[in-house]
Amino acid sequence: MADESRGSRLLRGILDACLLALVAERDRYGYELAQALRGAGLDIVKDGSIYPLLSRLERRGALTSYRAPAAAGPPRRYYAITERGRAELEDARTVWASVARGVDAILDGVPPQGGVADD
Amino acid sequence: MTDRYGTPQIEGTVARVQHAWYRVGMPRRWRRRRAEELQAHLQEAVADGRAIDDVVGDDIEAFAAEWAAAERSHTVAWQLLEILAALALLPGVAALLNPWLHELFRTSDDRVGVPVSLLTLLAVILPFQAGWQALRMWRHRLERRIRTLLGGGLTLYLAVAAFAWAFWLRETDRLLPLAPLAAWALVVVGAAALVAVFWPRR
Repeated sequence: MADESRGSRLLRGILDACLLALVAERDRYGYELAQALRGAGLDIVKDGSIYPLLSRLERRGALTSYRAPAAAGPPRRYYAITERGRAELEDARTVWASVARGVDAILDGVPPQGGVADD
Repeated sequence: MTDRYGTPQIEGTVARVQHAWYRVGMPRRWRRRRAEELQAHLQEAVADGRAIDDVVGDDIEAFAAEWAAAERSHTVAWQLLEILAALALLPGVAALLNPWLHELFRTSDDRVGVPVSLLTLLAVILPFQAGWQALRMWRHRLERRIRTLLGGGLTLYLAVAAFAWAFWLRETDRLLPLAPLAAWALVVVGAAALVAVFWPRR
């Protein structure tokens, strides 16, 4: 329970970048995105929590969306990445790499690049 | 009776979400588009053997509020317009009708003007209404215990304020005189705000 809560808090700041990365591979619709997140082991992400993020990304021009008919059931809304979204994704990758390196260094007791470990 | 796609439960869930969106002022086009997207998602999830709760969580109102909040500037602007409509339209109409209805309004003055008792009533109701709408809009950010406390606090405020109004504030027979043109201006501004609020919601 505590692990799940910590995981949710950690993911909150990076989930939008995960969505951008998945949509950058190819246009996807909501359920597909949820499946891809689960497939990557991010089971703690509630399906419903991706929609507010998609709305925000769309509002700020990182994604666009279009409606396409489905084989069965109501039409699906596909999301596609924009140039602005690709730039955001690159920024997010850089930030994540830097944060992850720093956190790993502290949690694993390894001095960060250029630093010296205390005795 | 339900099919393997859980259609009645899905439709019920989508209807509840749409209703919550309506109450926070989301426009009809936006509601339809998002409801269709949610419905498609729920159908696939249920067909894959997942529960509706796995998608929307156990608090549908909070789920709806979080999604609507992604359009925050829109919802906040709409709430402010609603308050502006009430603040302009009600006093404006009352001011114009006062010459004929001053006995009903319990004012001894039959000029064009706003009964002070109406202003005090608005002063009692509008903070409650604004607080209630804010609670609705931001409920997804609050723990259940805090939501209950705030909801209880607002209800208590309304009860005390309504009691105070009924026993003390209502009795004033004073009138705030207004020029007829000013009263009409209030009505026009209030009506315009009301149309701006409700037209997209249709």
